[in-house]
Amino acid sequence: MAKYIIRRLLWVIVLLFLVSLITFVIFYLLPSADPATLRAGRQPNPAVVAQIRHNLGLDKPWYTQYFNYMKALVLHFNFGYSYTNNVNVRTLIFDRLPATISLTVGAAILFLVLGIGVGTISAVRRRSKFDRAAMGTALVAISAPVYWLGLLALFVFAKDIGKVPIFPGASSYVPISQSPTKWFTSLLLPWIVLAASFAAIYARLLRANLIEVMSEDYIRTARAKGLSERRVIYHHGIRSAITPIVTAAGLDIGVLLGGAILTETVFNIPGIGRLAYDSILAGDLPMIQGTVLLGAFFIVIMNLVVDVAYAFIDPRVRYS
Amino acid sequence: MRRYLRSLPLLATAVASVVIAGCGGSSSSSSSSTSTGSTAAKNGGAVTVLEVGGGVLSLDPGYWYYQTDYTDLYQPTQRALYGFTPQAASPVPDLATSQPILSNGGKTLTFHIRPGVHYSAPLASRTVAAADIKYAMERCFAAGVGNGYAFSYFNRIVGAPSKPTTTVPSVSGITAPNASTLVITTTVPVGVLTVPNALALPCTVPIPQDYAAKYDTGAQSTYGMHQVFTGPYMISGAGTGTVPSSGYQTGKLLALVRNPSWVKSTDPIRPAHFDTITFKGGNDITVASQQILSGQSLMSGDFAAPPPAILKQGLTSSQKSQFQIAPSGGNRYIALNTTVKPLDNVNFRRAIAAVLNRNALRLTRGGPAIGTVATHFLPPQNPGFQQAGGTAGDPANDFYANPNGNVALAESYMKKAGYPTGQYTGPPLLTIADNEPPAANTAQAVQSQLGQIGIKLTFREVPHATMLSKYCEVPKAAVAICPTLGWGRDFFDSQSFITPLFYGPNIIPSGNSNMSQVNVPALNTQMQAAEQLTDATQRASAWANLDKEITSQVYVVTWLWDNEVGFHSTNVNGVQWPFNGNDWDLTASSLK
Amino acid sequence: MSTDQAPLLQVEDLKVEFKTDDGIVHAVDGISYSVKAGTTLGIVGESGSGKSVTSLTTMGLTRSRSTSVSGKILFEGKDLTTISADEIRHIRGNEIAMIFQDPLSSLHPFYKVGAQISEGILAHRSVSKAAARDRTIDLLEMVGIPDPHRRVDQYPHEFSGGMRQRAMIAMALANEPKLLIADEPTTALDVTVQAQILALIDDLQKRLGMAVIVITHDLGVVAQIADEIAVMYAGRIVEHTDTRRLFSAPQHPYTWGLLKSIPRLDSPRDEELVPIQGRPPSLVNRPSGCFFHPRCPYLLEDHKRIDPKLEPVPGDVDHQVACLLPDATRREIWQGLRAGKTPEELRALVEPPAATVAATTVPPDQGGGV
Repeated sequence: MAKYIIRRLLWVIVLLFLVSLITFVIFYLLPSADPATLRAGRQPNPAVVAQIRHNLGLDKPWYTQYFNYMKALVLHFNFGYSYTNNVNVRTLIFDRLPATISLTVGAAILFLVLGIGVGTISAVRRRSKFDRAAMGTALVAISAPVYWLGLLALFVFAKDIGKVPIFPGASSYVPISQSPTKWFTSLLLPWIVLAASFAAIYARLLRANLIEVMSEDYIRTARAKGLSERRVIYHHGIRSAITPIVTAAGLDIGVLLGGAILTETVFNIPGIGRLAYDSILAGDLPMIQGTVLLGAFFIVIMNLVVDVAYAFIDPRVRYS
Repeated sequence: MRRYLRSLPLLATAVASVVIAGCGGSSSSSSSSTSTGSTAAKNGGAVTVLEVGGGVLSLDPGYWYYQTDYTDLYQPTQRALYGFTPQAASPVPDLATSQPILSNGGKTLTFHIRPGVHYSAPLASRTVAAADIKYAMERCFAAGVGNGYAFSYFNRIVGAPSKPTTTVPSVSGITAPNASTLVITTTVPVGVLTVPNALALPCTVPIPQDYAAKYDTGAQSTYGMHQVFTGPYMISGAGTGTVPSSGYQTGKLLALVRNPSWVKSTDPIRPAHFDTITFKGGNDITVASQQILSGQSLMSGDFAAPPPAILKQGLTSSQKSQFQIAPSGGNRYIALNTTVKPLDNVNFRRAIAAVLNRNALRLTRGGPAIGTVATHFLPPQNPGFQQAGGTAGDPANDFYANPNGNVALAESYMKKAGYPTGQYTGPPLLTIADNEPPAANTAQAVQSQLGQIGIKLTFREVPHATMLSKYCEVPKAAVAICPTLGWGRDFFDSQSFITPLFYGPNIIPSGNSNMSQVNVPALNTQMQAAEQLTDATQRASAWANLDKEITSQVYVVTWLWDNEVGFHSTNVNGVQWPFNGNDWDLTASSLK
Repeated sequence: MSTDQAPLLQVEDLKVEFKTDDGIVHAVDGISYSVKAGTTLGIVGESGSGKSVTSLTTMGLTRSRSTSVSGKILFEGKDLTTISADEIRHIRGNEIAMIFQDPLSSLHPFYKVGAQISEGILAHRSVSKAAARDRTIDLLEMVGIPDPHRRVDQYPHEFSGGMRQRAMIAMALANEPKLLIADEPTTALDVTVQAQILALIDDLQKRLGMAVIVITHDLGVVAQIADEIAVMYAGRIVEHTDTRRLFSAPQHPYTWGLLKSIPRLDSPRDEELVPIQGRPPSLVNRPSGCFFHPRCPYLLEDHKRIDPKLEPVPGDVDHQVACLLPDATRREIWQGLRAGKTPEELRALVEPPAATVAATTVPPDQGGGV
């Protein structure tokens, strides 16, 4: 197993190299904006633009730029400086990362608990009123765009602009180090909004899996042993039904760690997602690279985590 | 000042209600004030400004050029040679004690520096000296500072570099014979210096050389993070000599507190009512608008107006008093590239101007409530506006006579341009527009309106930054029509409106503002002459004449003079600042 | 068969119906049998005959809103069809245990084998986990799994097919059940392993004195270990007798078909197998009259209308059969089949006098020379 993990980690490094190269080439060949011009102010002296271009290293061929970038990255863990406002990319990204992590982890816990809970009850009480209502609501939650759901949530529940003021409104996020209580309450509504569609997906997924699993032979054996129905469902049924959920959840969490753009936007949570979006619009290549690499890193690592977890869940799976 | 990269709303109506603080600052020199009633300004309290974008781009005074930089940092935290009060339409002495003392035919300008203006900690015991302003101006020529206007306005100072330098240069034409005297000499008379509009820009914010020089080395200056402040406010926690993250976080937060070193009696411009001013960035425009209108102690920031639905509802309800709408001093126009056939034909351009339904275009941005249909290039509140035709415009420009457009007239111009049927028969014209609403809606309206005289477009919508830096500002891209453009002034002088857009030698390979690529020798000479006029009245006339010619030639189709829509919570008294496009003057605003 | 004891399990006129979207499935349509301690009953039939449903119902595993059960299943005097869900759960895995066809899919793939066995113990006995584990190891030894101390912590996929079935048996016997039901215990196993498993079941039965019900489609299996055999078809028992008699003197055409369709070592090499033509009937829309009539080679018109009852064969109260053909005819036919004749040839024995064209007619119920 250790050898397997090491091999996979080496692949992670290869993959990240590949991602960085592709990103670089894309934004070099098809840049969305010219950062030198954007920074040069109004009606710039061509010499000013040329100077800025030189300062940013943009006058060198793309492979030289890439090599310099990778050298700084690998040797000094330096992601460069933003073309837009010269901020240290690494500093800004790691500054924003805790917010995204807070948002993701909380939402993940919520959607897993809710999704598995609702999915189980629905599967066990198939075709009951609860089942129909739950699956119907799930369909709505999956279809509703996150941004719209966020706005709706604010206009109903936010303390400052909502009709039923319960939760803190947008822009109330503070880091946990500043005030754990404020941090927690400011994230409640975003967690709910972000978790909504995921919980719905997982509820439906678990329901389908569990129904299938409950018709397996070993469930019949468990019942034949005289175990309580509760034990049959939880110990035998859910244990099997949950494996695809683990895979899916791991990947979803990996993606979310790269930034939940819409949720971060509507609630004004200073995370990676919004940063990525803004930097793409401005053609800010170092920032784009930074956020893309970070996102890729999370997805690839979560992939590995999920695969390893699978080996612990299902003893038939053995990596060599 | 450069308008920030955002779409501006348009405001019309005769209701230009500019509310000014009652206990206003001292009267300024010649000013055309726009005042209405006054409300009692409360001293003290905290206010929060909600911003949609990332806030200021840099903390360095030498870099500031955008509307947001001026509102958030320039006016509240720094003083310059000259400044603007909310009432002033021409520069008011701030660190200078009077208007420039001219000699040598206007080529030598002498300034006396006001005594007793202290810096903030850690230089609290020091006062502003002339040498500090000299250094500040000089560093604006350095590549590491990245200033965007020094080479436009200070290029005629004796000894000024012709291109950015790697280190801060020494400019012989700027001298400080003693601590309280500053002398600038120019090669020819420069109108924007003699009427010191260009000296109200932040390059004249004083910066002590011995303190700042160590930050100005290297490829990028870091002075911004270590600056000392001269204004009524400073960045929270910066007294240590470094701006802490509790005072500033890029894109998220800027916190201002009172500057203990500021002495009110030395400052004729800024009342400074609030105790603290906090800027929060990254907000969603819909949510922020709602928060401002329903909350307390909030003001709108860098977004030009709330979303149309909220604006409409606000103006028709009791929230109306929370809005302040005033001309931004800017316009919206459609650039026609005169190097792309058949846009080189003036009659073809006039046909385009005639067919466009400017009322309909205005509707795409929210309707009559947000703008005045333009009849010539210069917007209101700019010198020369009246002479150029005022609101009604020149009747000789029949293509602008009907704000709803005139298809028959357009067709007659088409015939004059060589299309006998009155319909265009040539190849499609490359058109690049902003892809974000409402600009995208405007562009689509233009497209369908041009279709009435058979003009087909190769129509593309791209992000704003792309539209400018890769297409419309790049002559090589050969874009025929750029329909979603706007322009704002740098100061109350029409030179900054006309020269960048229509002066031939200003055409550059990238970042080109002269998108119509106008290069008419007679016009160029006329502009050069106008630049050198030192008398304000003469300048107004000269630029008005240029406006007339430009409008008649339809190098661009100007369709709107737009307005700034500011809004705030019920307990806030917002004062708008005409110099900065009627964005807030936070040193004059207060709680009620 | 011992005749003095009271039966451990007595099924009386059991009917089980399932409501489905396609209609009502008559899975079990009025069957009765009994099993005594220390004996083995074999229930034989095709899939869809209802043989498994009977046992599952005995265990209470068919209870649901769409199932209706009538009749009685008496176990030690209690009627298992009417006791509460909790009560029958206490009996399951405890006094009545069941093993299933495919031991790989019948064991949970994620849990260790030992843990799954211990689970069954802990569900019914209040003992410590350690004690349950000890007992589990003993059970594994008892069913002949080598190295039980190591095996107890292994997973099902680490066991061979035969060992898995042994483990299933161990699991079933964990709480010393009085009745063991084995549903197709050897179908998923190799032939060589089959014999071992059956021998094991047999051996354990003798040692523990359980009653055993073996459900299978394979006559070879019941031949080996059953004391008496019930043949089921379309939810009914069509023949019921002790093993020896079933194989030597079967009386139902279905049973004949089953017997003739298995190859025998002692049959001539060129003798063809004679499968039963047709397919098992739908349990929703069953054939009219005798359920077997669509596939019976000896069909007469009346058989399409009249539904035969399960009745004792004349002269032998322990042999029951449900067939409309006369007893003597049946014996004749069987003799003929044993001699190698085909059903087509033997059909003549069944023809009514009016249908025969030949001059000499022999009344059908006067068989000669049985």
